[in-house]
Amino acid sequence: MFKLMILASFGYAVLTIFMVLSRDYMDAFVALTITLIFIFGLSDVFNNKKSGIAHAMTGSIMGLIFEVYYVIALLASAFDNLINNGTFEFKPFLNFFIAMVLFIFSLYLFFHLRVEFKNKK
Amino acid sequence: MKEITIALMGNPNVGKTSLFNALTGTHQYVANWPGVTVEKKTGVLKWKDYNVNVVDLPGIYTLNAKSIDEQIARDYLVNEKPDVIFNIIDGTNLRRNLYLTIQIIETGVKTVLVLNQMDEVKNLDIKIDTRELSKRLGIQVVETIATKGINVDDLMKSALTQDEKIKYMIYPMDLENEFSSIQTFIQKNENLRSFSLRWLTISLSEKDPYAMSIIEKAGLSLPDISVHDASLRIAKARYDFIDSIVKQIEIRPKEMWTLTDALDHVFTHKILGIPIFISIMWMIFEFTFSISAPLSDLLSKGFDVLGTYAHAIPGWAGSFIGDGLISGVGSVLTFVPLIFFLFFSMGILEDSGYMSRAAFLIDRIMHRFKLSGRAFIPLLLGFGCNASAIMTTRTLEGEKERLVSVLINPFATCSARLPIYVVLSAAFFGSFGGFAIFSIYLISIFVALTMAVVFNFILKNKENSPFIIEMPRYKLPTAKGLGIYTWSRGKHFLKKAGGIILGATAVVWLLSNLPPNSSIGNSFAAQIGKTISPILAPLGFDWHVTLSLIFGGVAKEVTVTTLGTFANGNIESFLPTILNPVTAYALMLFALLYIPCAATQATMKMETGSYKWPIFSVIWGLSLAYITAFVFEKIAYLVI
Amino acid sequence: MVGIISLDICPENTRCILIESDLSDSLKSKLMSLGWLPGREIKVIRRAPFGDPTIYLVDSTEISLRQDESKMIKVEPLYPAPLSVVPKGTYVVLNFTAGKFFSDKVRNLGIEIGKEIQVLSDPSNCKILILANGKKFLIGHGMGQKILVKVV
Repeated sequence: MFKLMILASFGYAVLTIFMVLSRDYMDAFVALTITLIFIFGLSDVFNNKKSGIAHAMTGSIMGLIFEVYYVIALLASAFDNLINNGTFEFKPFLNFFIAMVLFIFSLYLFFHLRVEFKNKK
Repeated sequence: MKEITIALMGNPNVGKTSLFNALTGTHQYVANWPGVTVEKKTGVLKWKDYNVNVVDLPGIYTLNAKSIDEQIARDYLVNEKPDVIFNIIDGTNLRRNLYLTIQIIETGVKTVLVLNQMDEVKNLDIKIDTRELSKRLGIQVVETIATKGINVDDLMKSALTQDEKIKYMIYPMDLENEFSSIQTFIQKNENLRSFSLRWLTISLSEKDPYAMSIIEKAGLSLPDISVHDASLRIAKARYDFIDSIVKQIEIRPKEMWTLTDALDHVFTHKILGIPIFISIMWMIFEFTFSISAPLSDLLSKGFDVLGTYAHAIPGWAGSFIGDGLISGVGSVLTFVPLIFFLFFSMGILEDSGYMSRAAFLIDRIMHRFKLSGRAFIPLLLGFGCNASAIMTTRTLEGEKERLVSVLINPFATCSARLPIYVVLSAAFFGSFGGFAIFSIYLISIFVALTMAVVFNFILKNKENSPFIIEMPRYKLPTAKGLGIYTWSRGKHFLKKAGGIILGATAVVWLLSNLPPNSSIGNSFAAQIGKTISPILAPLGFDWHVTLSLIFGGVAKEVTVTTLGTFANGNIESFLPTILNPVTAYALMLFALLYIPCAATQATMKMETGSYKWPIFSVIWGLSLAYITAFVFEKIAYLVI
Repeated sequence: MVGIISLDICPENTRCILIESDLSDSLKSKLMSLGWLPGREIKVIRRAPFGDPTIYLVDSTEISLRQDESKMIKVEPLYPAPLSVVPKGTYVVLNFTAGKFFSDKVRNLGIEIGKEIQVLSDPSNCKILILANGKKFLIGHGMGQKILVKVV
């Protein structure tokens, strides 16, 4: 789980940076928060505290919610553009792509953690 | 057809609403309990040859009524005496839930215990001996998972089965002895026959104000019997009784860490808690507005097209239908997606259980402004619609706090004002438009909180309202529950606001198009605007703006449609002719602060019971708006 | 009375027994219906980021209370209890709720798991007077919260 959390922290940190670069500051804030959730959990896992898995769980759930929200928001604004200006612009595409990757990753992480959580009980 | 009335009672968060929805489906009717603004939900269910009236009572922890919700539930139970009570309890939390059960049973009404959330009970590895529970309490017990559908037959059969009368040994002998003298007193009096003996006896021994008022109304004077420490001894006896039952019927594994505990560890984390809070609030906000935007735009374009067809009808009528009616209806309906998604988001916050955590996290800050964390919710809802948000202030317990919450609510900029900001931002601020709008929202929060302190000071509020909020288990909201909630709230808004807006648009059209055959500049509307506009001239607002603001006072949505009427449909190019970026932002500030709309004033009157407060709001708002816009412009012109 | 303190000074993870409360009737009634009766166990779950309110657990129900109310509620801590809430007496150190860094720091003061120490001051929000390894010294309230002890 430790390795997965490091991956997650890295992934969301990357997303944060790209969002900042595309001037999407509030969404970057959310991505940053999720990154922090994972990072804070790392020390707990390292010390073998049960709260480590809490961080991982919460991080993955927030991540999933965030990705769903983000994709919907992007699609909606793309359609809005279509309706108003007649052009279909789907951007920023890179962020969308990273978000999709993280979504699949978070989904995997969530199910993996669910099993681990049940066993720890 | 036999008639039967069943009332639903239980703690908050046990799934009462799910059960109600499952029983009544779409045959629901929402009104208010008489004289108050607490929601009364009733519904109908047809079962065999019975016509079942289902009443959903407010969620309460005890019948010892101190809050409005408790009073309503108690009054209904004691006075209207439904045929059956479905007491819904949370299977994972028997002890606390059964406290209310005992009180209900003591009122003598036929009770069926609905043991809900059995799925969670299973998840937590808890085992409950339902049959033994039924035996010990002497009432029928039905297990349910209300969110997954219920077995109506089981429930109805239990409702109609006659219970065997059993004797409860709840209170110790010394307490019973003290009860008996009160009991004899009651039994001697004819007028008290209609009340449940047990309930009245115990309530009187606790010196419950309502019970005492019943005695007074019956023209009797209270016997000089006092039971010392009554409330405490009674509560203790009840819990001891409950403990003995639960020990026998429940097996639960040792304290374990549930998913809720784990999530709370992070959601209420010292450092992460607030960033998470901000993130969630932002996502809800963006989700609501982003997703509704294309739908609103689609609708708006659709109505434009309809409008042009209407012009095919010659003359006056065509214009009225096209520019008046269709335009008016269009302006109402384009907000429907927004309203629906806003209430959808609110529903998610509430149902998931996060709302309590949000109130918990933000309470300290709210308390600084003399409000409680609970007041955060009406304030947050105010960003959707002030009129309906004000109705949720009923959950606040202190009178003064409720009043303050009502008064500050209009400063939460509602969704109806959003088009004003959107249109102005689009015309003047380009890519910073979103930021401009967000800044208005921040200012709105700041003003609302500051006003809370100011109003508290003015009202000399010395009252201290305590803050006790339950943190329920986290739950995944159900689609059905969300759907019903969103639909009913959206419909409610439409009904209230729709008529007003339509009417207002018609009035605007009339005033703008009379005298007949005159241009816009010579219409009645223009004359009104021109007469009043000198007052707003120092702010850089001309008569077009003045008139829009006047009409907007009736319903904020109309502000934009009024401007649209002047612009003949092309608002974006019209606005720069009458405003500049500084005055545009000042206008946004003015619209934020000036007066609550007609619907809001109506609910203000309803909640506070007098016209004094809506009138005060209007005067206060106008002054504040004027001064703020003025000061802003002065500073802006200096800086730029 | 020995050992009785107000609920508001109990740090997270403290378990205690409710003794009595000095609150208004309506508040008492509300709390009672939620299971807050004398003799019941209260567990302090979480303090909000700004220090107030605090979430408490009684009988499977979590509720949050402000300090304004919790300071009126008298409780008796259960052991193992944090050092910051125990009355004067002799105790054995059971555990720390902080990491290695913390335990090294307090070892230098003579506070080690398994060792006996004496508390010479009453529980309060200020410093605690300790006697350990023959030396008297003061430790901060925050530190005291992280040391779990049992009465000897």
